[in-house]
Amino acid sequence: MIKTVDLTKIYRTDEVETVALNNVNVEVAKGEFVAVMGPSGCGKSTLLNVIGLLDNPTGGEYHFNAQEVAKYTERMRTNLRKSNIGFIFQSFNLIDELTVYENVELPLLYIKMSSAERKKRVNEILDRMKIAHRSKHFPQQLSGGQQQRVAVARAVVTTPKLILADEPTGNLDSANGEEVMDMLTQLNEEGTTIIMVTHSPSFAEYAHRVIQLFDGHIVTENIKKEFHL
Amino acid sequence: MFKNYMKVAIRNLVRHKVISFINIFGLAIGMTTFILIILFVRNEFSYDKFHKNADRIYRITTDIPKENGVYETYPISSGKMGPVLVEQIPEIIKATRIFAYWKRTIQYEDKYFNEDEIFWVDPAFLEIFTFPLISGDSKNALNEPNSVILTQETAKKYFGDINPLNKRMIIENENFTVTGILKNIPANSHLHFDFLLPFAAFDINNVHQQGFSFYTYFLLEKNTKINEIKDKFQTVCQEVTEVFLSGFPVEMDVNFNSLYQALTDIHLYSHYNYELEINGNIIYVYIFIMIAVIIMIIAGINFMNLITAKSEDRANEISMRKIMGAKRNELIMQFLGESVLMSLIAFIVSLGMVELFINPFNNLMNCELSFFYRDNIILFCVIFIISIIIGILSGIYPAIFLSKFNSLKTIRGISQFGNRKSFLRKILVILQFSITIFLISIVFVINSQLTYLKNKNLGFDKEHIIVLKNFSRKIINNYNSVKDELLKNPDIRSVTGSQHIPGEFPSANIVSIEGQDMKTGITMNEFRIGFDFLKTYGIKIKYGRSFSEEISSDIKDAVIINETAAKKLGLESPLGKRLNISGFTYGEVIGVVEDFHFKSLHQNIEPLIIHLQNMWISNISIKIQTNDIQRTLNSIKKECIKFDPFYDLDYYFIDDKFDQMYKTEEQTAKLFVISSILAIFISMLGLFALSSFIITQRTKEIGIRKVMGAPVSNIIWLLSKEFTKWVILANLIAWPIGYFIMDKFLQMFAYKAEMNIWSFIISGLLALVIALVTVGYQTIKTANSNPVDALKYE
Repeated sequence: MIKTVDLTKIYRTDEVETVALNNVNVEVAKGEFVAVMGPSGCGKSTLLNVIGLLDNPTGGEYHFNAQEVAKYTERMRTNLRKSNIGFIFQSFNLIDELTVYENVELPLLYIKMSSAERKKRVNEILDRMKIAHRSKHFPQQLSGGQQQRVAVARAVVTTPKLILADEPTGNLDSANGEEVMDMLTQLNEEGTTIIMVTHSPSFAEYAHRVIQLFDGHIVTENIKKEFHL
Repeated sequence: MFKNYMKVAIRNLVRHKVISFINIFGLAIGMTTFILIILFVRNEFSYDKFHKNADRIYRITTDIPKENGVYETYPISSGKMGPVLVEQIPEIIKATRIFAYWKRTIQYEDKYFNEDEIFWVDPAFLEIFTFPLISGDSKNALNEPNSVILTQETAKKYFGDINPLNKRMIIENENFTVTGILKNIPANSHLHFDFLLPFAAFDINNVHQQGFSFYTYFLLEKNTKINEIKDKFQTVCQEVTEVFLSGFPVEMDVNFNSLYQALTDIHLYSHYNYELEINGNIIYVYIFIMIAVIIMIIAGINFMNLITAKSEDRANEISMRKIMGAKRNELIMQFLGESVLMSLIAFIVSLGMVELFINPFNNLMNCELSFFYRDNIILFCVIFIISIIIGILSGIYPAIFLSKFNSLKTIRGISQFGNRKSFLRKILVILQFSITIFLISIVFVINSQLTYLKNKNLGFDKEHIIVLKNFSRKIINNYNSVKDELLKNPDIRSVTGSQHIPGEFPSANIVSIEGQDMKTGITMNEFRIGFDFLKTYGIKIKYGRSFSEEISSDIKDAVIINETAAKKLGLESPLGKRLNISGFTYGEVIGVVEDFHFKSLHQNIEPLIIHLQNMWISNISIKIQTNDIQRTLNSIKKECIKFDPFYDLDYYFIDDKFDQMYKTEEQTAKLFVISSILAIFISMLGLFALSSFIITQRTKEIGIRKVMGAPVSNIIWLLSKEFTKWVILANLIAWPIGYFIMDKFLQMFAYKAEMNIWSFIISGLLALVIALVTVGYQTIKTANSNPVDALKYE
């Protein structure tokens, strides 16, 4: 599903050049659950952002669903992203002015869908994430775990093929963290490809494979679980 | 999607209640002021346009030589001109004269009043102007010499609910029949009257003798351009003038030039002596427009600044929307929609505020404005469009700027605002403060000029002088006895009758030294007075003496002139010289008075000739020496009633009369004071909100500085320094502009207060104090906060 060839990302300011990704070659198959680990500043989030089409690479190739997308414009990336990729962040990034229901509904507003269908989808997902009873609440009225469940609901409401999770458990206690990991696992078992950045070795255990990054390079790849197509 | 935008917009408004209130309220105040001033300005421009033929009606003006080839224009013309013009110029299809200077006691049954709003007019008056009759036949209503037309309001005053048509009224002992009732005269007319009497009621010989004492209006044929008849017009007028001048006992050999002015130009552009009423002034209209625009700009800047500042809070939301698939144009639309929504709310609030404040505004500006949407649909649409434009302008910057943000950086908490944004905001705040300082300095300058005008020594004693006006013949015929009776009252120091009064229009006549050609004469103002005039008014004699009852020749053969007249006539020792007034009257100069201001301080002191003329007395001036004015007035009335039981005490104080001359200036000053207060208030609202944003942004810096050992005073200075710099810069912009405009304003006065640099310095300091007080609360609060809290925030 995802294949990068010599992927490079360099951040340049007037005087400093920082190589965030250096000839990274990654392949992620459809339905796979991959964890990305490494020390702070090693390029994990950059990799995730390039894969998530939030950022263009400086060099190399990036194939998404067998399509070369490295040179895509912002508009093309937006179109590809909104129906294919869901995001989950460490700090939830829910919109404070919107209720739980409206936050989850948001990505559906940017793809053409009837309001009846939207309502059905949002309610289904809220039920599934066990957050339906909080649908009229605002994010500030929820606990961290509940907020992340809403964020997960928002990420999966468009039924994306790929979910990118950037330290989804970073702001949660272990119980809530585990709950989120269980959700991700369940989604993965249903066929969604997941790439997750994490600092936690125990949560990395949930993945089929762990990629270790260091200074923009892949240093090791460990297979944790057997994965069959 | 739209619903989602609306929800977010409304929830944002509610969540930031204070800021939203400040934002909407500030803009609404600006819009309200704008609407009210524009209503006023529109009313000023609407004068006399309600006449169906407004664009074809003209008034004749006359240029009369003043001195050394300089002419002065008057809005009056000879009583002959109207009829002759219609007779000789086919393009002039109708003309009417107006004679407006006689006061009359008018009676219906047991009700009587002294009336001075009486117009003697030709029958064509009702055809030229659109003053519709609500009863009576407008074609014939003025045909009979003894007919009278009343306005609705006047009819009510005399007749109550009775139908006045064909009723008899007694005007100066003669019977008149009511032949028509006019709809009340609109406020936006330069002609205001209560009674119309036919010209035929005038003694025609008398008319001719009155010379240039008439207002003549004529109606031009359709499709004729006024310029096409200019030459013909001037030739005919010249002939009429020559006939008029040939009636003088000596050869006048002077030129009067006649011209015309468009009816619709009179209110704003005509400021001659002898205008029918105090007209508006196009300069003030422009000043008012400037104030309206300035207030709107201040409110607009405020609104934009707050919207942009607040938008920084939304960076996270925008990033998330982008990640979720929002396109840039969708985000731009969302932001524009929000700011337009806010400005439209302000628009609706301002409509309510206009309703609320229109009456106080009417009182302030002395007008009768109303804001009916039906009549003001264009203004309504203009304000609506302005609101949308302000909304768009305010939204466009954050919309385009924020939607360009890199979502990733935002999510990671990396600020992308940089200096560009705060630079723009700084410029806007400086501009706002410049305008505020400019307005405050104008208030100081106008007020010092007004104080100067009111306190300037006029060269005579204007205090404690009561002027009685509107007498019946009964009192005038017994003037000497009335005066004797009044003088018995110990509260009354002096009494004098006269035709002319300082502060009212004097007559004007050509005066030359006897024996010299009239061509060498100069146009002089003329005061016809009774004995004790100089004493009553405290006018000082410089050389010679005043009129004396003991010297019989003083009555017919003596004149007093002022210093300017002596100078203009080239008389170094004027005493004993004989002067010729238009060839009709001669007199020996028995005295020269020190120059005094008999007109407003807009004008220089002009030459003046004073002579006795008991026949023409129409005012009695009484100098009183008591503080119990009511008791004196009661006793004056009692004395007058002895001579005319119908006399209704009609009086004014001479100092009030002079104050009224600066009514327009006073009105403008009031409007400036109110606008400045509003401008300051709006700016304070904006600065308050803005400073809270700026201080929030600097919380981390303040925390670190405090940890490093910065004392509270240092932090307060750090935060206030910024605002102080802005205000100082604003002063540098405002002062030269204020100086330039006020210099132009003061040029309208012949006598003016010195422009004082302190007006500007105080305005600047005031603005600085206001700015520091506004930001002070938050600055002190932040400076005193616990540094750990500031760091935790990050």
